[in-house]
Amino acid sequence: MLGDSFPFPSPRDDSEPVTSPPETDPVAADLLWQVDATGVVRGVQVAARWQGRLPQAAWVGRHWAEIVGEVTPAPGEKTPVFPVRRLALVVDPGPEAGGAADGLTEGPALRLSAPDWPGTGSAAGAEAGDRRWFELIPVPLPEGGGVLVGRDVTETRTLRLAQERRRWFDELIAAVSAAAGGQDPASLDAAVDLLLERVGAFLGAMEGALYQPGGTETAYERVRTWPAGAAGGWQLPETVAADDFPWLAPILREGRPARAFPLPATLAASGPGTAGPAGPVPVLSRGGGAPPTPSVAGWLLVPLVAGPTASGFLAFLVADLSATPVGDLDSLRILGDLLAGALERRQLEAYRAQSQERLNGILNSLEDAVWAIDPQRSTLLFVNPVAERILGRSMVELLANPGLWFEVAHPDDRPLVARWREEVEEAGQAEFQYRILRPDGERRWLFVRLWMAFSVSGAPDRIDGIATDITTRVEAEERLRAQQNLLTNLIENLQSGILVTDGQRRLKHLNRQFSRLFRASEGAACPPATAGGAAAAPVAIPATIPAASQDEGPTSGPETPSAAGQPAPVAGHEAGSEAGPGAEPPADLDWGSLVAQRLAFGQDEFLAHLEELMGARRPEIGRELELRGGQTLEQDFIPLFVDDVFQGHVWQFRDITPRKEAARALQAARQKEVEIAGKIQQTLLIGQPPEGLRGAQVASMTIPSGGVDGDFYDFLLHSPTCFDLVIGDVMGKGIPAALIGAAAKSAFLRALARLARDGATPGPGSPATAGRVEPAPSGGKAAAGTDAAGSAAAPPGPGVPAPAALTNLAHRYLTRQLIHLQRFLTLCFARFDLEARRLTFVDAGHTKALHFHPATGRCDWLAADNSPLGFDEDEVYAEGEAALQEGDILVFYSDGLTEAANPAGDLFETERLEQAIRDLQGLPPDHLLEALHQRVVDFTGSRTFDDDLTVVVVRIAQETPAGSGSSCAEAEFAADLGNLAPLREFIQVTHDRAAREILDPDRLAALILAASEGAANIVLHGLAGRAEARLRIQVWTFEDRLEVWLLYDGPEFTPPVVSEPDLTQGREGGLGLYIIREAVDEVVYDRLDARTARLALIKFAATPGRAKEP
Amino acid sequence: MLTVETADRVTILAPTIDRLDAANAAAFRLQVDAHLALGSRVLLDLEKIQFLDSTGLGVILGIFRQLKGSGGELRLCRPGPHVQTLFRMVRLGSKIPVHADRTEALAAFAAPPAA
Repeated sequence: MLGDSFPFPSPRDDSEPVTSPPETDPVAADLLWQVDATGVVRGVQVAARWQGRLPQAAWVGRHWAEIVGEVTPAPGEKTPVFPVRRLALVVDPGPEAGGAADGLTEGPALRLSAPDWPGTGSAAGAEAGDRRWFELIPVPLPEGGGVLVGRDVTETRTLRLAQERRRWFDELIAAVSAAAGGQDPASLDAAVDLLLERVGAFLGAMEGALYQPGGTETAYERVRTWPAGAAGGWQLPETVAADDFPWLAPILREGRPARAFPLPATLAASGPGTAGPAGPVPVLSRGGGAPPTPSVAGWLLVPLVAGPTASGFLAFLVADLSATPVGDLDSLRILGDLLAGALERRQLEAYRAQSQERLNGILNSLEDAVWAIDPQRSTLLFVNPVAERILGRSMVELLANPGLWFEVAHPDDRPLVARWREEVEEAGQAEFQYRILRPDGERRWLFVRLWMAFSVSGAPDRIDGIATDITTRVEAEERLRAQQNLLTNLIENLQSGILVTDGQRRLKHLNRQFSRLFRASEGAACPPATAGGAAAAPVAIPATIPAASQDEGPTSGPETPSAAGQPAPVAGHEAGSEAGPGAEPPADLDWGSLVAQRLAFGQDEFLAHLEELMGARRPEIGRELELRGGQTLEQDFIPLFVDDVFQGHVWQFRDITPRKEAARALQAARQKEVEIAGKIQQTLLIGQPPEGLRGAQVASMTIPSGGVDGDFYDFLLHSPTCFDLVIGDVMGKGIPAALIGAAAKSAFLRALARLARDGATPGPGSPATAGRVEPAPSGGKAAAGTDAAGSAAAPPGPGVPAPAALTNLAHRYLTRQLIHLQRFLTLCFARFDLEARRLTFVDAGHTKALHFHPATGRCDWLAADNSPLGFDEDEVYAEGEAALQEGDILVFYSDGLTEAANPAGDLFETERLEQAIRDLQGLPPDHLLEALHQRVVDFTGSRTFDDDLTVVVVRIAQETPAGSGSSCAEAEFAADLGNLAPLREFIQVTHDRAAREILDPDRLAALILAASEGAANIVLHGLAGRAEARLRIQVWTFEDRLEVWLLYDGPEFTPPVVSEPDLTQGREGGLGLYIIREAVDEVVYDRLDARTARLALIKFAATPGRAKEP
Repeated sequence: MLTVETADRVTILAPTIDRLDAANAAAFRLQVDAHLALGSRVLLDLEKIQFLDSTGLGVILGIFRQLKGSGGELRLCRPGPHVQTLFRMVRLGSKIPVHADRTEALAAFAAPPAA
């Protein structure tokens, strides 16, 4: 057996047969050791040719085992063991070699080889000295001890070694080939194992392994190991990474066996016990066993090369690399290649088996049918099972008839596919989409693609085909088309004009309504297209745009003459004629101009804006366009995005003309409403300054802001020397504020009536009746007049409630509702007692009234600290007082005056008001108001104001001297038309009784006419149906005028707007009112108090500029 | 309240009252209506009327429209100063011819454009 040790003959080991060593001829001995019974060498003899080349003297006296490097026997043991040993002695090269003369040098001058025969020794010229092999044959002597006969066997051994190795390798190659050639994968593994074992043993390796590529490109894994159950000792690594061993890659690349891989230095230094973790490479990592000598141990690699690269390698851990003969490496390479080929074949076969399986799997799982036809023999080479499913026919039928695919075509489609063979042969490939009829009657859509496959020589080799069942897709397309049709229909029937453009601004679609809105023939004003095309050519649009989908037949688009960028008129489609299908809008229609040319104005701006919109791709909703002809369109412009990809634009045009008209009508109605509300304000909220006062002049002014404001004021006349002014401002604007103002006024009147009835001792009449008016009729003939001209100044009388009482009651009426409505109002209630020259006032948070004293130049602001009405239910309003002197000017106003702002934002403020009054103090109140107004206008730079501007000016005047001022005559009549004549008579008589003629007869007649008309009106309307009602008349005589007051207990008369009546049309309804207006200079409708309504008619004497001609 | 004469196929109505106002206008109208026929040519002599108000004016206008609608004709004569003032005020002269005296008025009737 190769590799076996030679048996050591031992006298004590009879089980081991002692074989006679070959060639043991003592005579031919080169070397003799005489060994005593203890094994110590006692004498040495050497042949002549070794004289001086072996260290004879050094050997004498030493134990033979020590010399040969084996065990050291225990002292005194008398066991001369003489095993046959072969010694490799390093000898002096000899004189002929010319080496160092000192022959056997120090160190292991005599060294034993490794014990195994084939693996040890070589005539290595690389050694320092000549290595020779000696065979020591023990010859025991009976008396003990013996002789070791040594013979130089170097030449004999080398020859025999070569022969044996040749034979050994041949056997191994044969064995590996036999093992690798089998089909069974296990036999290949067995071959590998055999190889590892034999070569490992041959090399004297500690371990051997096969490495094959692992998971990564540069790492190799140990897949087989010899010895199989190796435990302990030095081991090869589990994985070898090329990066860890820079020398690995070149070796594998070159495919040469190599062995020059010494162990890492770190390993050598630290020893096996601790080598693993300490070293940079986890090689030989396990402890135990004899440590390899770092300088000679290493691993030998045998690359497995079968192709351009190595597919792995064998590695052997060898204790002494120097012992490996170079010649053996070639044999190893052969073995490696052999093994590589076997491994590769195995892999390839595994891959082939796998890929065929995969291909079949793919073909069988395809949704498409695949087949191949031999064109020469017209036989089916291959078809996958899907074909059965698609065609509804068996594989047998298919195999029998390769043309079956086309023969089952639907009769209608057969002409389409009849020449399939010719087509594919002519063009090399062909495609067909057609319907088939299955045996079960089902109809399916197929898409079939055929192509010719050619052999290497260029001859037609196969016709390959693939068939896809596209029934689902076709049906989906049909559904989609139906949906598109529906959508198109929908768009067509929309009431909005729709125009769709694509991303390149080309027209994609427009609907019928769009055509209607923009059809060119309606624009008769558009000049017809001239040859020169100077004017914007009218664009005719087909009245109907068919659905976009037209699969069958060529699309017969209208001719689109391209006249140098002009919008192309669509020939043959008169507007209004419902054109049939086939009329598509020209894609290059200049739709922007088309819309623009219908605009009433702003065409250029429209186009510019359009450009901007399209560029920005932003939507614009609700732009209004006015067309020529009065139509108004609303335009939406919407960019379309599908999955964030811009698709184009949608335009939508809605005809909103009716809506606009309605809106205009609504606007007009609102304006009318505002006007009416303004009139209501003027009549409900704004009172007339009292006339006929003695001792004061009053003027008021309201500049409306244009809307309806909450300002209000009114006068309650108690007597010619006593009146109240209520001025207030409701928070907020609009009709609600106006209504609250009216309610506030009403509350005060209610309060007045209530207090007069309950609290006060009734005078000769209601608080506002003339009973407390002290007229001074000059003639003293007035029916009910009381001569009071010279009477002492009287208080307003017990019947007139105090301002605080009035305010508090009104507050009670109002505040809860105001709080509920979350509103409040500021107010100033001022009572002027002109006889007592006293002003009593209640201030409910209103702007502070100005009280200017011209005599001293002082200026007071009338204010108390009460809060506005509507703040606090528990508020108790208190009175303030001020003494009045002749010439005093009192200014009541709303905050619209002091808060009038100029463009810089500065307010008019009370300072400017005070300055204005100082400057204007000499003017009578009405002129003062005009001048004040002018100042505000100058300050603000505007004649209109944000807020109502309300100002009331009261100037305390010298009391009218008796007789020179007014006098009053009063009479009372039952409310009957029959009393019109006595009433007229009363006026006439009162006038006639005056000291002098105040009005000329014509003027007097006009006044009487107006009074008669007024009285008739009151009787018929104001007091309608009240038989017991009374009508009182007061005739006030002034130096410059006559006033007739018609007083009655009833609703205040609100005159309609009176225009000149049209006598021919029977519209005489306003005739009486018209006559009143025409006949007198001033007409006052108002209310003296809560109960008494007044119609005052004033006729001046012929004062130029004041009175008109009768 | 009213005297009635006929001259040249013209009915001359002369109120005997001194005023025509809201108090008596309705009664006056009833009396006048009794003397009106289709196509009547009527002269209203206002000599006695000292006061006329809008109601009275309304009655006169009513007569005027009634006659005009039936092919007749109304003329007025001899209004007093105050009545004239009122007529001016409402521009009545542009609708109903007003004459200073009866002769002038009857002459105007005598030459109708369409008799």
